[in-house]
Amino acid sequence: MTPESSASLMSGVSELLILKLLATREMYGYELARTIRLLTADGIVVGESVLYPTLHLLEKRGLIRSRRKAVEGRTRVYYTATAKGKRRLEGLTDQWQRIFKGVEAILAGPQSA
Amino acid sequence: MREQRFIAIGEELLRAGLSPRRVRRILFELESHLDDLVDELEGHGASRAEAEAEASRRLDVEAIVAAARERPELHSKMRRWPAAAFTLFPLFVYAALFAGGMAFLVVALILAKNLGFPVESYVFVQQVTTATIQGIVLILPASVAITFCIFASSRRAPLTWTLVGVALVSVLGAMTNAQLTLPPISPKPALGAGLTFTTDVTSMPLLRAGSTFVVVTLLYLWHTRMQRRAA
Repeated sequence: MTPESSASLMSGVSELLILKLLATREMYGYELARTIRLLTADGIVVGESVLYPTLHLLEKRGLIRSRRKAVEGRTRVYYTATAKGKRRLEGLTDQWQRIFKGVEAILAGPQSA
Repeated sequence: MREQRFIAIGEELLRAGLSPRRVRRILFELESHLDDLVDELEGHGASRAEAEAEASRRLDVEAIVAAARERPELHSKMRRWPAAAFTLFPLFVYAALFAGGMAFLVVALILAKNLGFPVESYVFVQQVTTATIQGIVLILPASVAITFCIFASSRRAPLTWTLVGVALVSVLGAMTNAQLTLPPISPKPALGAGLTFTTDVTSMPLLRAGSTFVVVTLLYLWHTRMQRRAA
């Protein structure tokens, strides 16, 4: 896999994971990154270079919305999924499950075509 | 140290094509991210200085800038549609301000007349009106061009496109003329405005366009040089 195609796949995965978490509850950037890291047992680490551009893109497309909120003296930008974002999440989840099943079938099956 | 680093990141993001507003927001989020990371590292037993150093080391500035550069959707409108932003936009602003200025003058004179001020019997009013119109015609192009340059500079817009915008405003400004004639000089109040281009008399418009372009360009180049030094 070329670095470009790998980056593109990872970008799609980040979008899916971010939308999934933000559909559950409101979160800020660092919280999202840490939650993904913890839930995947350090399997997926979303760096700032992927996280913030992805969040801004999703917001620009109307899939999530943001607001500044002060909690315990710290002001952060909190994100949450919009209705459009939740619909997009359903589509991405279907797509991802198809890919996952396909890859799994090939990995589990005989090597010869 | 950290502040200087963030200034440098902001500069890189602006050069990558992001709008100043988006850059401010990303910097705010990155700073907050860094603070959270420092807190987490301290929670794992690192000293404040160690946590700061480690968090700073983990912040991959080049990757952040590269990611911003690769996503045109995040770029400012000026970067995404330079032809429209650098030609139509300044020309439209100039035309709108010129028309607005003239309309304001006319409305002010009508209001003064309706309030009982004898506009028609004062040559002084005529002189003030003419001076105002000349001011609009001569100063407005340079003012719009300078404002446009400040706008372009805040977005680190490419020099060539900025100069195209300045040149267009300078030429349009040099072609614009306006006169408002009031009694007793003319029997009725008359407003005239338009664009003039004639091959017979080219020296004056060329001189006006050239002087506006040169003055604004020199100021802009000086400003961008100062900006680069500060960064």
